[in-house]
Amino acid sequence: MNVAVAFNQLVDQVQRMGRYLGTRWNSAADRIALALERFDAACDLERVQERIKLVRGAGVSGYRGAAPLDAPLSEIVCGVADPPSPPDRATLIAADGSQIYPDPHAPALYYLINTGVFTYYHGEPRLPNQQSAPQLYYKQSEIEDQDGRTINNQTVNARRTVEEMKRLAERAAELATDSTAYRPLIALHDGGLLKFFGASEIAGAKQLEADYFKALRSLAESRAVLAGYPGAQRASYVIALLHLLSLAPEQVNDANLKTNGDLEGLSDARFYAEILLPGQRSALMAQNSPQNLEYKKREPAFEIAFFYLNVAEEGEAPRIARVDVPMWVAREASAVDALHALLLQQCAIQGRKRYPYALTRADELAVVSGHERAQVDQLIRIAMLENGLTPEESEKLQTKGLARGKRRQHRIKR
Amino acid sequence: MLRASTTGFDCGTRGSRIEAAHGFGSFVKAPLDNSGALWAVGLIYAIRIEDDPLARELVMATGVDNSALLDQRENRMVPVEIGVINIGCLIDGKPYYSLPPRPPMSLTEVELCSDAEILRFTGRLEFFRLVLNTREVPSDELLGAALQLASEKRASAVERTQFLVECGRRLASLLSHDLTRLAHVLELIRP
Repeated sequence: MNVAVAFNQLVDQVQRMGRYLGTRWNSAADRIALALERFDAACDLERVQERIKLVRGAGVSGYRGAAPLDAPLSEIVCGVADPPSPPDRATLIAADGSQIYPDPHAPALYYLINTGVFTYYHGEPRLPNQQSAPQLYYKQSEIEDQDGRTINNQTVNARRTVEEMKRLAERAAELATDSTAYRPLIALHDGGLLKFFGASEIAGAKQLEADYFKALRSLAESRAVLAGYPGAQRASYVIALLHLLSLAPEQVNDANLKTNGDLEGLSDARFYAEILLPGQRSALMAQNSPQNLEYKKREPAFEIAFFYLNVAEEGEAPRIARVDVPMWVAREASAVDALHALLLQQCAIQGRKRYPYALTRADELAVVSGHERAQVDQLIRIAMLENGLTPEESEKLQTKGLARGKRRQHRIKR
Repeated sequence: MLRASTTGFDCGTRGSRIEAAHGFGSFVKAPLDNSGALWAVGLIYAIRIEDDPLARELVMATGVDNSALLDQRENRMVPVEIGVINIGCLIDGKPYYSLPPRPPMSLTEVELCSDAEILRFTGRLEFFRLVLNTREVPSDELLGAALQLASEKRASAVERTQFLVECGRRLASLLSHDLTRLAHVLELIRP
């Protein structure tokens, strides 16, 4: 077998990387002790609100940390909530998506989005429902931007995300009128809920944003308990808040908020691993960002809140996940409790892998493997031939295929 | 039908569709063409349940979630695989005790043989050699299980005993060179 990576050169680098990560992890101990100290001081909600008022005032624009929710929903920042009892019955919907990116070396230019929606009934043994919907995009208007350039992968990712949310909304609307579906109706999205479509490299960003909000509205109308599950994250929203709290009012300016000061490098997940016991969740907070403000302006119910959850089993090392919820969910204590309990129940299904079962299955329904991609290419080749076209792989791909091909051994035939 | 050759085939089904009748030594048949006149007849010699990483994680969970259990058995694409060796064929309902002329095609539906077909096929014992000579399957146990099953299809206790005694005689002539093996198979079909 031909090996492209020179492992003899890589081994030393990997070992150095291991030492670096180890040192970084250990050096976090001091910062954690400092953060814990400040966390205890963060129990004064009034003081926290005052600081947030400062960063939301004129002259400061760079604070991207956590903020308590607006009164009367605000929870004490240093508070934790024990795992509540799950509802007797509930319906969980999870949606996920996968894609084949446009490939200039493929027989024809196209892209594909495959979405999987999985419905799980909590409370009694009932066969879950699974749906998978592949959608092929090949028209010029679909694969080119307004300047006639082939759309990029970020655009496909954004379209996939919107498609996932649309499918989640459609399924929720279906179940909202289904008398056999249990309540509450939990809708899980694999990722954060605060999406940014404004990047100039995304073709048709405005339309995508409109479609995303339309899906959010539909989910709210179905009274679905929507949650985004980005899982383990390197975000440091709460750490940024703790840094803000360490500043005197006159020190609150963009220059000091550029970094998290003496807590820089510490993530929320690493910090909450010290705070949350198995099953506990943090306080509900919101990210202070222009993007979230935009969501709130569009509709107050669309502002995105979040909490951290330790999904580990009793006696296990902490496993911290972030959970995003829109404000229409955050407002309902019973909805947050149901979500909290059901996420723990879902994570428990898979034993050692603490991840919501419904999301794992939605991913399984959505994922497009390399083999399946080759089959799609083959079907396209056949369809082209049937229509008098000659599909040709690019010279580049063909020659790569030759070099990457399997070696054959010389054998003496008898 | 997943894979096939003239000597046997593997078929797959959902876990929930496996019943008592699909046991080790059961007689099954698969069509060799669309006419409905030509069938391969075989014996189930193995039932395999495959796993995947998700199934392994579910096994490791403290308690098995019933909905997840149903999901695994009904929805997930993890088929139960059934291995079959061919022991003959049916042409217009008449049994022939040689390997079928060609294998069944993939995705062909495999059926259990009816009681009447088992009685007819085991009316003669010429398929013994095909079973006993098959390597890589527990051929003695397979033949024993198949003969016990075939005897149960006989109407009366007398007929059942008579059938098994006849089978024993045939085995004695086929395995006369290997008395240890013969004793073992005879023990397996003792009425």
